Amino acid sequence: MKTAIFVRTNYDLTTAYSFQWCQPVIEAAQGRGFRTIVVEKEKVTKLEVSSRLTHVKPDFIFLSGHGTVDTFKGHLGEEVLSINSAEAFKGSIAYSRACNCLVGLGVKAVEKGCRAFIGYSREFWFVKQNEMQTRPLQDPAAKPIFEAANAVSMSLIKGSNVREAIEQSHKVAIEKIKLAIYSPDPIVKASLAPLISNDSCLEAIGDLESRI
Amino acid sequence: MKYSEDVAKLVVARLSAIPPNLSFSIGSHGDFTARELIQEVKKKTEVGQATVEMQLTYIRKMPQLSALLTSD
Repeated sequence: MKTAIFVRTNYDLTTAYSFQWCQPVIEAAQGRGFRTIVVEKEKVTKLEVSSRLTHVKPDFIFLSGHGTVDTFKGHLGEEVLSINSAEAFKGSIAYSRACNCLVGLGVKAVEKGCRAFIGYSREFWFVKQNEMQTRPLQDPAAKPIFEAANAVSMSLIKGSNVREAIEQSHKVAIEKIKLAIYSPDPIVKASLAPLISNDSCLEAIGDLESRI
Repeated sequence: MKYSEDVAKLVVARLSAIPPNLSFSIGSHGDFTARELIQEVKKKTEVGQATVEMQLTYIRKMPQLSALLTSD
């Protein structure tokens, strides 16, 4: 049985949105028979996450939270994973929905044995409608952005290799972009620039032919 | 990244069209309304620079996107 670990923070509005939008991916993994472990909220500490990754050795790691070039941040911004602990990714395929992680943490992770690291080389942007902040999954401004972002993981879970998953993500992003361009709704249109920006900085490094 | 006044004006014009009930999340930088992003762009802060980069990426990609739309 394949194992997926989902690490998701939820302590500000940004992480709350990304937290909620992890749920469809978690459910997809469960539906596909993955053993799914979710480390979330105040449990996203350096000790807890390192311990889980080291002992479980998951096939797939999904990180959702804030990040920098060299770090993934846990609850309340605690540094949870960094270039100094990148061996924690060994043997796994990882997706990080966190700003900038790809270019430092991702590179080091692959050096230390991560099969492939998928992430963003710049800031991850999204737009949200103020009235929908308690219902991120129904927010029409955020929805196309997160559905495009989730496409990579969804595709991996369904058996695609990393290259195919990235291509699928680009396809979904293009469809969302087209819908935004044609939409008369200014709320949906506002998602256009973040969609394009995120899609343009989504990349993978490591073995692109690998699959979970 | 440095950007010219013309680029700043272009980005400000684009942001001015965003409805006021929307806000942008920019990672750990936080949440900003379009009006707040306009101020960041004018002050050339880190957030302002990220905003300009995001908008310029969009503008640069438009020819490719136009080709996609006309190929449908």
